[in-house]
Amino acid sequence: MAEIRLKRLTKRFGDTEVIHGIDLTVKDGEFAVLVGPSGCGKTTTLRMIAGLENVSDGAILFDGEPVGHLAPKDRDIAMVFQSYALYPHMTVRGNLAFSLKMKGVPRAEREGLVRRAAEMLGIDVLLDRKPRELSGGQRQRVAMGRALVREPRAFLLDEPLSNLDAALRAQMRIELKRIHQRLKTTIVYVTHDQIEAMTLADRIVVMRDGFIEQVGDPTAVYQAPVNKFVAGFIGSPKMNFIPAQLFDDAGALKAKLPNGEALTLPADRAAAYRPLIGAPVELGIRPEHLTDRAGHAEDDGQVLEGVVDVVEPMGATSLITFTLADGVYNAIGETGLVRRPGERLRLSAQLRHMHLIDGRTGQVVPASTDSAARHEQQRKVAV
Amino acid sequence: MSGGTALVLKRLSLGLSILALLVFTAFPFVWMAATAFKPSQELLYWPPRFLPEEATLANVVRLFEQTRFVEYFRNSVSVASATVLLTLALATPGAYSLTRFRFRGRETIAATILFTYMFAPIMIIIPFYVLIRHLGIANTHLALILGYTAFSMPFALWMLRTFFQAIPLDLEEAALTDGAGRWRAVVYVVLPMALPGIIATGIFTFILAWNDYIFVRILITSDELKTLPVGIADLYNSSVIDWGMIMSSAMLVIVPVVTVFSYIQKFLVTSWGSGGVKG
Repeated sequence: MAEIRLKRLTKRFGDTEVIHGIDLTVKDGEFAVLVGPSGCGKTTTLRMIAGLENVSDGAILFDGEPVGHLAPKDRDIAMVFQSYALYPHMTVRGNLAFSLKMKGVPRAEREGLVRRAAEMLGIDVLLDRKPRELSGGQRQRVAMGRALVREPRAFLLDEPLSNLDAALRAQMRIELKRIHQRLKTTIVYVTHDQIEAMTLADRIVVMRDGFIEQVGDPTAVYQAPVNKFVAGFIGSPKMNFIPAQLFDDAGALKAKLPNGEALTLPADRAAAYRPLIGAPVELGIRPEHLTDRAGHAEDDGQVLEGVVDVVEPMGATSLITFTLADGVYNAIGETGLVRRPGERLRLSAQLRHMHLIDGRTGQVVPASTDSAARHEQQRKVAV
Repeated sequence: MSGGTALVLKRLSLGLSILALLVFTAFPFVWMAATAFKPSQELLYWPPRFLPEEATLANVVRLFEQTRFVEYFRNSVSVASATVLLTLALATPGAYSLTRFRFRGRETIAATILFTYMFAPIMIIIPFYVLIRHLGIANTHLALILGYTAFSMPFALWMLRTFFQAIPLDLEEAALTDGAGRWRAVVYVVLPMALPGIIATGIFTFILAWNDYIFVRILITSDELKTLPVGIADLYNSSVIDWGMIMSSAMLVIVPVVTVFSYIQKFLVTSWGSGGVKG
């Protein structure tokens, strides 16, 4: 087990810089998830940690020791590939035992370790099969088993669940979390799926275009995104961004929406938001804070009017896509309340959960001086 | 016409086509084998008979007793085997590096290699002869082995390169993160997976060396160093052409090769199958 530290880590392919000097510390035993859209540099970062890509600039440290000059085999890490990369000419047993064999572990001991890892993953009955005789889910388990069979300093997982169907993915997520709780090994996990990131991570590292946008525990990143990108990327269904203009109405701070409606912003945020009067801003409101008013007759939300476009029932709730002026947004409705396309809709917006985005910078405006300090700290970690 | 009849007709015509093709290609071989067992007087019967009336091994006996057939055979086996070993020993790492390492001019090198394959051996053989005489190895098996290796190298490199390219890079990287160095990753993961390709290349090289006539004709002058194609061809040079003996020698050239390769073919078609990597 090890603490992994990236210092000003930079990667260039020819003249193109793809990772721009990122700093990150993954604590010993921590489950860190690098998440971001494709092309954000998360896999390249992971491959540099593994030693499969050269570092162009900066350093990678395991427990304070630089490892940049070490070959992958000398870094004592275990990696799970998106493609699983099982050795097709070896049995499951051979696949699991391969790293032990390379390490020179005696045969008898190898057998015991393989069996233990196989039992942990429920693949002990498959040990004599070849990879081509396995289903996708079983192959995925073997790929995991190959990492689990030894005790590396860190597990590096590159989108390990992306080839599984939704049900299997959910099941493997739980197992992964259980395994981490049991082994407490440092894990760096790469995914483009923000749900995986939210559910698995001790710490989420949101990346975009070779930069780290925000680092934090999943709840913090969800509740207090630092900018519009993170706000929009984390959370499903996505946050709504409604263009608005702030104005002062007899001491109360209000936001004028494209349809002419005005919402009163929470009084405790007025001081923080007031400097943006006149500037282009966006209200960031998650669909779960924008609910069908009919279902919550006496709530304290502000009223927002829209027109129903599409309704997607999701079981307990339904996802309503509605239009407001020229924009298309999402809200959460109740399955019991039948809404028809074209119907006018009165929504309740819980603005105490809103975020205000400065249209000029794309940054989320801190709601209070207290949170401004926290924001600044998180930005520092990220930048 | 019902679907059933159409199917029967389709199968019947397919079967007949296959049969026609089979007769066309197999007849010379069958005729050769039949002739090998015919006594001399039966060979020129008119009208010709397909099967020998009295099968005899006299032709084979004469071949072994009166000619250097066994020696030629031994020469052929050792030259062809050495060529295969040398070619694979050079082409395997060569093709691997042309696939896996990024270096300036890699594609140019690969293309140039294929270009050299476009020259017919007859165009290269004279300069090659001058070269080996210069090196003092004219009229040796070494010259033959070097000639065949040089000549089969472009094809071997290209064929192996295709096989290496088909091996997902992920597998090698998995081996690297599993604690293997580059060398062990190649030995334990890449080579076993490229085995069908290596075998196919080996067979191709073997057949090239085994069948070659022109290199031996020009590079070898001593009778005891000749390989089968030239050795057999020289059987025609005697005043009386002994067809029975020639056919039995031709048969004996083919039989061991076919036997060995029908066994090796098993490995050739055993692909490891998918399943290693998803997709």
